[in-house]
Amino acid sequence: MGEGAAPPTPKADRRHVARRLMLAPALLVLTVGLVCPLGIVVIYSFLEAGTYGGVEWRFSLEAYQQFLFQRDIFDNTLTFSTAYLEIFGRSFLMAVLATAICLAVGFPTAYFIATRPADQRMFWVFLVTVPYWVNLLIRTLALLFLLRDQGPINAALLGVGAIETPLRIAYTDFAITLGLAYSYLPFMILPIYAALERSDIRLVEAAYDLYASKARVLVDVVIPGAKAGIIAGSLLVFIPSIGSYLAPDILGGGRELLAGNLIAQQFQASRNGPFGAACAVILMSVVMIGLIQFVRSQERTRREALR
Amino acid sequence: MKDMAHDAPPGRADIRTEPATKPTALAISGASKTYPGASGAALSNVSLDIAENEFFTLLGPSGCGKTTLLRAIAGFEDLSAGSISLHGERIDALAPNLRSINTVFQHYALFPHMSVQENVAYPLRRLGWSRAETETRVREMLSLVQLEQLAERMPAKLSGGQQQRIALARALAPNPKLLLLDEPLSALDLKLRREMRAELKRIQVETGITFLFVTHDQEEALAMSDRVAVMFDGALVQIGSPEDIYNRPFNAFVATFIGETNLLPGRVERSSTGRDVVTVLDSLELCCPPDADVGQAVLVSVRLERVAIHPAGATPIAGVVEASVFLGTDRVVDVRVGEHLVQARVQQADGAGAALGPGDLCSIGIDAGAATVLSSELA
Repeated sequence: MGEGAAPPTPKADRRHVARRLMLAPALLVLTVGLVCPLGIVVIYSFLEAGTYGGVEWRFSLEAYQQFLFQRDIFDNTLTFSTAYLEIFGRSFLMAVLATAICLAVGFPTAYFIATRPADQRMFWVFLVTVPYWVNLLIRTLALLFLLRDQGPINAALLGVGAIETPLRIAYTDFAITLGLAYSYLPFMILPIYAALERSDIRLVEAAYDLYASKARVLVDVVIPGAKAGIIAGSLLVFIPSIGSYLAPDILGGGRELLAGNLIAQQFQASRNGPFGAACAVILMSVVMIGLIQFVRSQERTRREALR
Repeated sequence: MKDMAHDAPPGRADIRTEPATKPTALAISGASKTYPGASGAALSNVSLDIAENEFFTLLGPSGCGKTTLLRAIAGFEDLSAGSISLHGERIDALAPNLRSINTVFQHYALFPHMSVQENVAYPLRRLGWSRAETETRVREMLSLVQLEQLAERMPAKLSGGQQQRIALARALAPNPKLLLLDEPLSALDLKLRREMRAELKRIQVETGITFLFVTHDQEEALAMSDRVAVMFDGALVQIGSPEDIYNRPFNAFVATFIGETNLLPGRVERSSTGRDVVTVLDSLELCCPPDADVGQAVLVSVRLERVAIHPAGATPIAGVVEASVFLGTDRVVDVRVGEHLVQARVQQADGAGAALGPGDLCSIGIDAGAATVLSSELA
């Protein structure tokens, strides 16, 4: 950021400098809030765990080794183990499921809002955001009370005689998935709404005029028109879901580990900071590589479309 | 104004004298539309018949109701009252996808994520045409609009004129009973618009499909149409051939909206021969419409090119030139005749008129057949 000390320049250059300076606060926040902590995590992942917590400042690949191999405590040999891979795999699956649920619930909601008269839309958008005035922890706990054996859902089902023993909903993978979907639903609704609102109503009329039924209009014109919003919404739900900590911890009862809980556990109970850091780095790398591949394939289809 | 069309004196180019030579393609009867909360009606009691293979134009200023009528025919608006029939069948309760009517939209509305041929094939796929039939038809349509070479292109890579042609090909592909064109040329530049006019007319003749064209551009309407319906304030004012509405405008609105004209006040008088005549500019006597009363004030429309300029004294109507504007092929001369200003469009080659300048004395000649008596209520 040496621009401030630049010698007097013509007007255009000064404006250029001013524009750069306006970026400075954002750059500062990103440096302090993202680059530094991330750097610490990456460095940690290459250190040795201290015997009583903390780290020993010695370079080691032990943490990454631990992710894939189990060290025999007697003869010190390494055997391949899929335990941690399974945790990551399950996290991935649940994030995909949560994203699918959000899409299935969020698209109709966004479509409903986008098709309201213009002066009513902001009211509906406002309603979508209302639950988010309450802290995520409280909302997740509330969901747990709703789902548990003595909760209202089971009470109602028992009351009407539909079931004889309470359904086991809380502390299951289903509860975790539901919790994830509930936590991140607005991140799906809002981008899809934005895309639908900007989409061209005239194309809908054109398709309808060209013998498309209402369902075909939806598939052929409305959904392709909202594609950017659907992609953005899916990423915004999937990425926090895969590393989520709160929903698995509360709704899953912390019995089956997911990636987020595994990482938290390493820093807390297990006192193995380097391994937690390594898990975080691996998770982040996998997500990032996946995203980059995705963006590239999108670019390729876009370029082909404009060929 | 709305009632004028219905109270038109007989023998005029009014909406009830329709040529009944061809079978009717589209019949609209008593179509009315009132939007909730709106003060006036968007459409009031519009009735018209469009014959098969006709190139029919709805012409009017923006807000006259022509787009509302078009959208009602396409199925995007419900009528408050009235009926619409296509080839004898009521269609006004059908959804747009169930009407054998296609629309060329003002902004083309090509599907941006489909190639040109996918766009043109779209209605055929929805109608369940076989793959082979669809391919043949798409090729046929692209050659009709002379864009075969662009079949693989995406719409974003097409110019405005090309998009226009593809939209036309797409709407014509399923061979609809009626094609609606919603100001399709208004987004094109002037040169392209002129080319597309001839192109549209050619395609209409070639395909034999009934065209209902909506525009606010009178030149377009005159250039392409078999018949033109002039709309104002939600109602039909006049229906007729382009020549009819240009030469025999029904009222002052039609006379001034289509082409340029002199509107001169006249009076119905009993002439020396005992007939009723309309007198204009104190000396010119015109045939009187049969329903006019002696003493009634009327308006007379005289097209600029039907006013001749002569040397002073050559005719009884004497005037003074006030201005003379050079316009290329011709010249518009403003002549003060008493308290009236008369404009004349004279050819450059026409020596007498073209040579005069402001302040020069002259006289003007108007052929009795060139003047149309309008109803004065509209003045």
